[in-house]
Amino acid sequence: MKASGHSLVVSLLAVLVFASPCRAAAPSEWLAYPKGFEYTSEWLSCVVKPSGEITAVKARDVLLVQDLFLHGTYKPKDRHDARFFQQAAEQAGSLEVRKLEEGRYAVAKSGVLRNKRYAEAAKYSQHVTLSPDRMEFRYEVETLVPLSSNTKIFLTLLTLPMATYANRGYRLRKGEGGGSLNVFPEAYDKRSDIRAGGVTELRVVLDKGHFVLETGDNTVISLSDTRGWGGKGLRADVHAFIPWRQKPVTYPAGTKFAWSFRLVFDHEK
Amino acid sequence: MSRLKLAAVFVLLGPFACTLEARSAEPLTPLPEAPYRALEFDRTRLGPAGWRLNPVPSDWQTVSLDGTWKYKELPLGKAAKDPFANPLDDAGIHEGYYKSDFDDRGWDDFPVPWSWYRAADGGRGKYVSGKLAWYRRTFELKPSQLAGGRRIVLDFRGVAAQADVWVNGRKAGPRHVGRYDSFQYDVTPLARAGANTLAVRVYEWRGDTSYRRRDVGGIYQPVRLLAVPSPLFSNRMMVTSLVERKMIEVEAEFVNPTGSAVTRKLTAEVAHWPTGRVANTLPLRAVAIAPGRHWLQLGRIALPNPVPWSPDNPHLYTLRLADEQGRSVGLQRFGFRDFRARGEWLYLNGKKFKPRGFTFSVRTLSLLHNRDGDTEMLLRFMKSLGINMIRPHSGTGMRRETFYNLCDEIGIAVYEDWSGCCYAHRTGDRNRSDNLLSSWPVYEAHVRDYYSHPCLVMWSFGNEFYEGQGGTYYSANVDKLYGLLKDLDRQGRPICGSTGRYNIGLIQSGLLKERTDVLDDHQYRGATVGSWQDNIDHIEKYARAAFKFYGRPKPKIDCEYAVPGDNLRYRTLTFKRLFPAFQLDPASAEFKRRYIDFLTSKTAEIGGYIRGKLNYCSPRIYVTDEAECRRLYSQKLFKRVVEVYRRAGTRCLGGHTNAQYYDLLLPPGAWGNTASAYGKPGPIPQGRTEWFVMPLAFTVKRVYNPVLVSAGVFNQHPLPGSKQTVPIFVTNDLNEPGTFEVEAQLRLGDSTPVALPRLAFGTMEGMTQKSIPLTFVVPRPAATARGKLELHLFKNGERVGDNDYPVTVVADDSTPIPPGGKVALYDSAERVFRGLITDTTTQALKAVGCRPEPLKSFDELDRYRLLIIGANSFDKTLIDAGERIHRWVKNGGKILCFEQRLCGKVPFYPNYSIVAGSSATYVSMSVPTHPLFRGLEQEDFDNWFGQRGYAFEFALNPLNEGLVAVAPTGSHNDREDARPVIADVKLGKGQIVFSQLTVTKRSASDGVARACLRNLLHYALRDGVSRFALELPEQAFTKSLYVEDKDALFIDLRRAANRGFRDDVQGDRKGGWTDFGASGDFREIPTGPSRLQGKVPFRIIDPASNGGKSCIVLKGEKRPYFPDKVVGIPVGAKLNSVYILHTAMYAKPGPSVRYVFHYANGETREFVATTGRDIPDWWRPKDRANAIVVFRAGKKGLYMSEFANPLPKVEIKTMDIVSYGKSIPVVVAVTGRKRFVSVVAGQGEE
Repeated sequence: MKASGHSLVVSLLAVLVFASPCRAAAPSEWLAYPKGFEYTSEWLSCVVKPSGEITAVKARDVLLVQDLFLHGTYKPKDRHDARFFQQAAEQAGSLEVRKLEEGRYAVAKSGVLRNKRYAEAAKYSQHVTLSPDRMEFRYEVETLVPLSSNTKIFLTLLTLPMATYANRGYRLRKGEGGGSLNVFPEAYDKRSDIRAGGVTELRVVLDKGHFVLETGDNTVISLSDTRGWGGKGLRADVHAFIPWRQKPVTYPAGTKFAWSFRLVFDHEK
Repeated sequence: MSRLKLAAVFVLLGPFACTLEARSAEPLTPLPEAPYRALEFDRTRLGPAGWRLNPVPSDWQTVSLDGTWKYKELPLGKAAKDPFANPLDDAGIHEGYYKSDFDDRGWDDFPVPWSWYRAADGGRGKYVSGKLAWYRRTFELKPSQLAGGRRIVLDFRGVAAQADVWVNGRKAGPRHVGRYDSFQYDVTPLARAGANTLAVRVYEWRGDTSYRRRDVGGIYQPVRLLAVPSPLFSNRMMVTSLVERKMIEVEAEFVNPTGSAVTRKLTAEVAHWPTGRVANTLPLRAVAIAPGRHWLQLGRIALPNPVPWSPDNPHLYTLRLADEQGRSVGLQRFGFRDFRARGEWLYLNGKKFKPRGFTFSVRTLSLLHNRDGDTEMLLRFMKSLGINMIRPHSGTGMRRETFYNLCDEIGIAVYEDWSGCCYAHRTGDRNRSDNLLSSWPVYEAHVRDYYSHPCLVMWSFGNEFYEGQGGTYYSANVDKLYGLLKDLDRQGRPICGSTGRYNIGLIQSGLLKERTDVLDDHQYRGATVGSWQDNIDHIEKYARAAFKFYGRPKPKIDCEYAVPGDNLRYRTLTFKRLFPAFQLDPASAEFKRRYIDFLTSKTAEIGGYIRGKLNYCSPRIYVTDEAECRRLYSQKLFKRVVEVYRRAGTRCLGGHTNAQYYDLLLPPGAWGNTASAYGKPGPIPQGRTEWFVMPLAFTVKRVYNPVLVSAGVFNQHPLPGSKQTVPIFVTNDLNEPGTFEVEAQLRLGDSTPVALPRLAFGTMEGMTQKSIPLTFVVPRPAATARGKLELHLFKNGERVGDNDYPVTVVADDSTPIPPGGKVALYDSAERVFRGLITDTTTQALKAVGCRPEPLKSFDELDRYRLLIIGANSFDKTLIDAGERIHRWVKNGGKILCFEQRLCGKVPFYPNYSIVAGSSATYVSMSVPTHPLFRGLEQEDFDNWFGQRGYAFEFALNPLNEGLVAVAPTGSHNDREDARPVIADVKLGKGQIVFSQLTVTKRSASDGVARACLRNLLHYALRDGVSRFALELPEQAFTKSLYVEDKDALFIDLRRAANRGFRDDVQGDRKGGWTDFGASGDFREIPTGPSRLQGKVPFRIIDPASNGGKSCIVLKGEKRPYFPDKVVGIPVGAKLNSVYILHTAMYAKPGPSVRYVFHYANGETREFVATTGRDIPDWWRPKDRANAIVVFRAGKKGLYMSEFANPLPKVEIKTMDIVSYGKSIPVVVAVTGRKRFVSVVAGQGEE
């Protein structure tokens, strides 16, 4: 919200707006939210950090997603940390929010991914639409340097809390098939390693409804149980479909990747 | 055949009732099958046996120089800096091997033509990177052959790869470099009447060894001498048909050996082949030919009333060029043919073309060499089965001239899969992409040499160029080659960048940049993985993806699918081992042990072949019933897949199956059948002297019928009385319309077939397809009946084809299955999968009249004798009650556990886990006598109806003696992929039956699934423990290993730690880990609190906060300078168990390290950790009895072992760690479990 006018009230409001993450929004133009944005509604809520990272996605009091951010990983030719995190990206302007209608907001963020090796590895843009029962995401990334990988390079990483999903039944769909049913195991056993790739819909049965993660065009989800390597729970990587190759493929600078997905809480009426 | 139509609402036929309109005419019988018979082939139809070379004009004299030559190999010596340079400075040059008077009597005899990589007896020779050898022979010339200005031309049809030729000691011409083209030398000035000496030095360097190259080496194609009457001659011509204009366009290569330019006015004579009837004679414009070798355009020649070449009518012509004196200058055989890709179609002479192909191993030709005309016979036989295109697989070598000439004459189109780049004359596949371009001159020469073969209709630059793999990129080079070939090939034949390259992943990846006229995918869905519906879905999805990427339709084919034909081979070794086992009682522990042994055998000969069969046939059938095994192979791995492709329309025009020629026709001899292995009579007689037709040939003929009737995926186990709808397809792949009808009937058992409604497809244009649903009510047999849905196709009133599909109708049995009290059902699926599931075990049981009591609590188990666990009911409540259930079974309880999806250890029976992966349509009945299979047969365990047709989705693990039925593997190479789907085990006084079959899901619609359900219930309801239930060695039953943080004592190793995780320099005694440098350290280990694999928490020291030290490395043979022990590590607690995070390097068998615990009461106890059980080597880690791999980084692993403290009530004061000095043990962390947790094995609570 722009600071406006000359009155003390407005000035005080402006101070409040810039002093803390803002709630709600006012008019329908794009507004900068340098301190982030907190979204609440009848069902879904979340916190959008200044970097564009989204945390604490909840359906009322049920934590659906702990963390959601743009991530990249490539196969380095020599040893170094070959990862990119949205949180560490060079920011191209601040987080922008636009109110679409009551309860619905659009959020936009862009930046340049980097790490110790590459000061400018790839530029990205993120568009999110927040609604009471769904969140829609679209990402576009363009490499600025050549990067190699056996499989996906850029993805949206979602960490899913085990406490919410342990022992819950779920269905995975790949394409237009009927889907396979499974249960998230409370105790990790390597034979229950979830690892599923090429998923286009994940639907989990929760107490008050279904949590659904569904992909857009040319987008898939790779699901894994990170407890297999010391992590704490489930992870969903959402990314453009790229087939796995036995030997790495090098993507030249200027290669574009785009993917989109929706996060829905299909609540029971 | 005429038929009566009877319009009747209700017709009673025998025991069956049909409520639909039916015809009562006599039932049709399928066209006779006639497999397994000696081939009856009129050999008088064959042309000359042996090599079929390009014809030469009749006024040229031809002398074959094939036969036995003298041969001497020379060592290649040290590889020169550039092994391709090949200077003429070997011993042969120095010692004059090329001279007329050289004495070669001591040399070896060697056949020509013959590949020098193959042993003289045809067996495999030694595969080497290259060879250098000299060949010599003499030949006679008559004076008449030299008179009248004749030219003597040496014609080499194929030498690999660099040839230098001498005649009578003088060099015949410049070195020829190339592998796949013919070349000639005019040796007139060198030759003389009488005896002449010919010496050929051949050199090849490939840079790698591969058995695939073995058929192209040395003088591997014929050599002939040509006496040419004209001073000018043409080796070859490139004839391009201009079909619409009824003309041909000709370019010819001339050789002018005269040393000065000549101008000739030539005449072109086009004649029909082989009659020689002249079609047209035309004088050509004068051509000026400079000395040497040149390609010249000769212009266009009209062809009145041309007869096009096609597989249906392989008409050939010859074009003869003559000089002013009428002497033949050259001759080229050709076919008037045009082949194009346009839109989503391929066009042959302007008409749509769909390949019905065969991927052909060219080794076949090498083996046969058309000896006795066998290659021609084989090709003609294949043609008779409906095959109209062959793709000689590039990986199997280059094909011979004979092959193309035969295909021209017989009428088989060839999809030319170039193998040149695989065998380019630089270092093998490592530079494969660059080799594509660097081998263009070789390829160009080959294209020009073979240009005019009408069979050659389509190009591919090689097999499976996967973009980006290993950093190899083909797009730019493939596109360049595309451009070069398009410029050269005036016929405009379609080009596919690489067969198999255009898979859906690559199309969607955006990496494809090159031009291609045809898309070619290789995929194996439905055969070894997935289901038929998966395959169909994939074809649809591919078509959409391809259209989206290219923005326009392109013809698409699939040149590898189903399964390699090698799948069916029978091996003596396999049978000698397996056959006796299958004579045992299948329910016995001995049989099961041997069965598991075979299934998991590393030996490809045994285990691999057994595992490979599981995808379509049980091992029992494979070993004991060869005829049935081959029948199943034909049906499941050929027929069904081909049908899917035939029905795909323009989404996939067709393709090439992977079956092999010996699956169609077995050559004479005794190999390839069971009878030869162990004397059991099989369908193939011993000691055959004739070629033998195999059942697959019949299947090919049926399903490659240009007009095909087929059924889509449908329920092949329908419930009696149910209404079924089967999509029936008629595919008209002829280029002419027809009026089609399909007569369908259901033939069950020995009963009279039930006629089903006739389907009138009406008039269908050529190259179209139509589908009509066939709806009928399934009969109600009194007893389970097996048979077929038969489809008979009529075109214009005449019967032209048929097809059939196995059907099983399980007799109605609606007798309720009263549980008889004391039977409980635990079914929580509806809650766990609320909104996702509609079929539950409760409903399935209700449908068969079984209503057990719902279990309210596991505390009430003792009230029951049988617990039925519903499908998808492993939830938290059941997991928590696991031990309770286990104890109840041991005390005499019984469990029938339906299909589960929660992967992990079975909560009440740790011998098994539920595992995901490799769901399939087929299940192998390993114990066919088991009551669960009562009334059912192996054939019934295939293709259970359902959205994907899977018979199971999740299986059990491991494979042990509890097995009753086993799942197929995704690959015959995977030993661990054979899993039980049904298991039956004894536990104490009780019994557990596991069924992972999709019984619950399918029993509402699949009669076999319903019968299985009833059998399972009846079996489980029996009193007592069945003899079919085997007792397995009981695994220590614990809850899934999990130590809560509050129960964990982290033993402090900071003072004892002597090394870090990273090491930079090997052997400098500094740095960390075991001092083997950066490539041998374990820097990936996470530090801080870590609950690796979610089981036991550890605190791994951060070296940065501990002076660079984070682990304890002790002495081993390879590192004697590390300490042999650390002592006095403080513990100070009472512990139930101790968990050690450790690993070892250079592990030796036997004891590796011992952990010594000193107790407060003065006692000590030791945990001796051995390599085999507790602390294996870190490299390529695998679980052992007391070592769980909890962390991996690449091929490195960290293990967790458990030590159950024998004195949990006494405080452990300290611990020591002592190496045995052989392996290098490394200890990373130690955690104790402080608080007691209930364990069935029972250590008392304090």
